[in-house]
Order: sequence, then structure tokens, then C-alpha cells
Amino acid sequence: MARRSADKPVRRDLPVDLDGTLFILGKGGVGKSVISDGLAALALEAGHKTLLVRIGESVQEGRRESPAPAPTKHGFDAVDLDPRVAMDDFVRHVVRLRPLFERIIRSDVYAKFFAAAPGLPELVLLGRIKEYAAETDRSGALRWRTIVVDCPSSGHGLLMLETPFAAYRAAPVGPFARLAERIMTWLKTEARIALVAIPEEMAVVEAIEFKEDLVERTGIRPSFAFLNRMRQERLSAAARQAVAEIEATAGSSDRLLLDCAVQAQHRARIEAFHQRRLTKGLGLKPLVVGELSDCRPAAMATALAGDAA
Amino acid sequence: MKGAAAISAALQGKLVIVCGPGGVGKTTVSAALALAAANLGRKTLVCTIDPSKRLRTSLGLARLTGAPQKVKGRLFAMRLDPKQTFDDLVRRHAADPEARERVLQNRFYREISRHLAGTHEVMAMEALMGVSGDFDLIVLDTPPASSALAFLDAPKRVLDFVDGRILRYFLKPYFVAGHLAIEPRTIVGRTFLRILDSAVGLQFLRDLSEFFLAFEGLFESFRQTASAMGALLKAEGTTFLLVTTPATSRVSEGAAFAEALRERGLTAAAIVANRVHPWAIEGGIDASVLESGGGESQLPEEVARELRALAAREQVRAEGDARQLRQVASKSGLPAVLVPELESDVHDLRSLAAVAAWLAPVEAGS
Repeated sequence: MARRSADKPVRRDLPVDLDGTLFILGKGGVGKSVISDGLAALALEAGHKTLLVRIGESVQEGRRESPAPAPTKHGFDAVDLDPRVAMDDFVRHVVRLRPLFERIIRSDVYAKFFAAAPGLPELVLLGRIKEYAAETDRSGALRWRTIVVDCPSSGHGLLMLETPFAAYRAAPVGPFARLAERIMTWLKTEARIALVAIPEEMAVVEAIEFKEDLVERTGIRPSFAFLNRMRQERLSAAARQAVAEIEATAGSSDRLLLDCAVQAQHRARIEAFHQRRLTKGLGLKPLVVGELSDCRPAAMATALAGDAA
Repeated sequence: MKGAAAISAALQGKLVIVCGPGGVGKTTVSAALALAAANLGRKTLVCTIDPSKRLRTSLGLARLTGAPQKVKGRLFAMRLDPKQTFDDLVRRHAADPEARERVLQNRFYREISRHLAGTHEVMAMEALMGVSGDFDLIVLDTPPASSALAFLDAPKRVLDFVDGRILRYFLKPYFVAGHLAIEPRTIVGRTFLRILDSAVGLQFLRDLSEFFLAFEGLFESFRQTASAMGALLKAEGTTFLLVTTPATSRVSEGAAFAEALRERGLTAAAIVANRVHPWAIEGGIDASVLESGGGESQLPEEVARELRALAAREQVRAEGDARQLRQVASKSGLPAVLVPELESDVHDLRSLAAVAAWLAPVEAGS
């Protein structure tokens, strides 16, 4: 794999429009994080100031304040957000008085109910991301031109995006409703959603179901999709002919090589099948991403740009 | 063969709980384990949530219902529907039809029964405990979760959330009168109410209070299920399996799983590594195959070169899998059982039996 050297900027045709906020969603284990890293690296290469938002339960137990976005060694900024901690931030903002805040945060009611109520922390977290998207520097320019959000896996990711819509339906008045309404508008007009799948039964089925649920519950359609870990092995005509015609004895080198070729053909057929199915199910053509042995953002950026080339 | 021994011991128990992140083939592994146990003569039930169409086909069932259905011989299958189980609980505990409808239509209830973390797991156990007396062994395919540990913490999460005492303190007096009837005694309480009220509005609070008022009886049932679940997880004859794949597994995940089980005094049987590159199991191919000029060949030189390159790429994948598995095994301290990536999706009992054979090899003579 070609390595990018620091003194030689790479100009690439970007596979997708990287302006604004992109939510990356998919089933667990399909490579959402690696794709998110790659998109952030790609946006950075294109000269965008970029922020990667990773969402998950915070590793540090007892953490009470979200960290600020900070530069990474890859060149883009990153921040780890935990919905529960974002909720704490919100309460801190509302309460203001530090000692009172501390007592609320430590109370059983808060820990067990308020912060655990489905949707509330997620709503607050989306609000936080929306603020990042609008943040400006001293000159008034956007602090980040691209924000990539690495979402929790399918079910939880959908719940997160659905929250403002559900919250607005459930309680159309009050500050939460106003927050929900602003976020709804923002999601519909300025944010974009990408789905990630791999060429496997469950991942493809889930991506298609996810799209249907998303449209039904939020009215938003995914803007693009990635089909990750595609080996895309193609046999030459001569090799295909050899597979069809040569009968090698069991255990011979020829036999092993030919078996290997048969497997590759089989896998290619499965990949093509899932690619067609995903295209049909989503109503958009997924970007094909090759298999990577190197998971660093720059390597993924190369793989992502590969499909556009 | 440590892993195979661990699985064979698990199949002689009463309950096998199959954990793992989504998309690793947990459902297939569960069904294959159940098939292996049934073949050993044990009356076995596999419980799964939302099985893919292919699994239903592989079990030879057009549809899976909420009651155990016979698949073949001593193998039975049942579909767990957490939402349905929850609704049934409401129906059982509601005071009258009107109260029942009020709860089922309550927005807060619909939200909780669909989304509250832990609800699915507890409801799965509720459904399972209802039928457990009829079987020698139950294999439970746990709901998809980002973490294999979600299942273990489910009872606590749900209990925390529905802890009636706390909520009653805050909400019930507030709403019985339809307005702020009491002033909470503490400043924390007052502030909390103020935030809730101004933040989510009255309608939301009304739904909330109605939910909790209507749920008095249900809380008790919930508590019972959750504590029974806790006891069952710890019972002798209950074992946990973690399913993972080389592509998705993080080395730390297996270790965290093993550690969490140990901490809770639960029994971990083994890690099942699914969809492993076959060459990673067989020890790869003879290096001479990848070198040119190694013996007589009928292949045109061009083709031989192309296929050698292809085989070399396969070898890299296999080595990656093997490396990953070694790390998972060494960090977790659990025995691992490897299941190779099969040529086709599991789509009938025969292919399910092929998976079962890897999980629980039948010893000669038995």
C-alpha cells in the first residue's frame, strides 16, 4: 500500500461530499470506526479542518464532564462523547451552582432515572454535536468544516437519531422540545447519514432494515453507503479456464492453487450478490471499500478514495 | 481439546447462555449447540430473538413462534419476543381492561418496552423461565448488544430504573393531585422537579406518572424476574459462551468478558471463534506451494503465478486470523473453540450439523 509522505500533498477525487456533519452508522463489527477514521483523514487531506466524534460509554467510570475536542496524531481533532456524561454537562449548564450540581449528580434519582431515561441523554448529546457544527473561530469561520460522527451500532445509533423526533412528539413544549425541534431541523437540512455494511447476510439485511426504520421514524434518507471488506478478487480469463479444465490430483500444489481459485470465485459471487442486494434495498449505490490489513486512518483514506478513482 | 471438553460439559448442564456482539453468528452457533445436545439425547430448546429467515429455514420451520416448536428429534426452538413478553406481563398484572389499554398505549411505556437498556434481556429470561421445566437443556441466544457484558448487567439496570421507591418519592404525590401537591423536602428534590418540569413539560410528566401509577403490580413481578434471573445465572449447570470472529473481535473484549464473569462468580465455558479462515485452523498451506518451480505443474506459468499470488493473499488473511486468536486466547485465559468460515451460509439442518461438528466433535464409539 502506498504511504503518503508528509511533504507531498495528495490530491484525490473525494468519493463523497465531506462538507458538514456526517453520521456513520451500521451494525457492530462492520468497520464503522475504521471508515470514520478514514473519512476524517480524507477530509483532512482535502484541506478541511476536521473533527471526529466518537460515541460510546466512557471508559473512565465516574467521569462527570465531557472532554474538549483535541488534536490527534493523525492531524484531525477528535473527541469522545458519552451520552450520560453529556447529560451531566447539560444539568451543570442548567443548575450553574456547583455544590447543588454535585448533589444532584450524586443523587440516586438522577443516576438511576433521569440520566438513564431512554433518549434524554442522546438528545442532549446530539445537541452537543450540533453546537460543534456551528462553532466558529475568532475570524468567524467555522472551526470544523467536516465533522464525522462514529455512532453506536445500529439499534442504539437509530435510537440516537430518532430521539429528537420522538421527544418532540412526546412533549412538544418546554426547553427540551425547542432543543428537539432545532436538532430535527438541523438533521434534516445540514447533516448527512452514511450506512456501513459488509458483504454478509446479517449486515446487509440490517442495513436495509435500518434504512427503512430511519425513513419511517425520521423521514431522513441515508445519503450514502459503504460496502466494506470487499476482497474483490478477480480471476483472469486464463485462470478461469484452468479452473474449469485442469484436473489436478488431490494433494498436489496445482490442486491447492485451483481450490484457492474456486474459493475466490465463490466469494466474489457472494460479494456481487450482496452488492446488488444492498444497492436495491437502499436505493443508492454503495461505495465499495477493499479489505485492509492496515487499519490506520491514512490507509483507510486511500481505500476510500480508491472507489472514486 | 480443552475447548471441546468445556463445551461438552456445558451441553450436559441446564442452561447455556451465548453472548457476543451482533453479527458474529451467535444465533447459528446457538442453534448448532442445541442440535449437538439433542443428538446426545438431551431434550433441548434453543431460544432466539428475531432469527434471520435463513435460520428458520435451516431449522426447517416456516415461522418461529413464542412457544417451543419441535424441529426434529429432541431439538426444539422458540422465538423470544421481548416486546410481546412485556405486553403479556402488563396484561397479566393490569387491574382491569381499561388500565391495561392505558398502559399499552402510554407513550412512556412504548418507549421503555422498546428501548430501555436491559429490558430485552430481562424479558428474554422471563419468557425462558416459563418453559424451562420442560427441557433438559436450554440454549439462549442473547439479544444483540454492543457489548457481551450487557446481558450480565441487565437485571440491575432494569431494577434501578423501575425502582418504585425512588420514583414514588418524586412522582406519585406530585401527580395524584394532578398538580404540585407536595414540596419535596430537600433542595435537591426541588431542583430536580424544576428541571424535569421545565425541561420536558407537563404532558411527558403526565405520561410518566400514569405509567408508574399503573405499574405498581408490575414492579413486583419485574423484581421477581430480575432476581430470579440473577439466581439462574449463578446456578450450577449454567455456563456462558462468548462468540466472536477474528474480523470483529478485539483482543480486550474476550479478556473483559472473562474477567466480568469471574468477578460475578459466573462460569465461563469457552470462547467460540466463528468464521475463522480454514487455513488458520489447519496450520496454513505448505510454503512450497507459494514458490515457483516447486514440482511438476499442469498450469500455464501465467496462471500459476496469478494463483500463487492469490494463495499468498489468503495466507496473509489466515495468519492474521491465527495471530488474533492467539492473543484473544492468551489474554482471556479461556479455552477457545474454532469454527471455520464455511463455504456457504448455514441454510439447512445439514449445514447446521457441520457447525455442530466443529463445536462438539462426536467421539468415536460414543
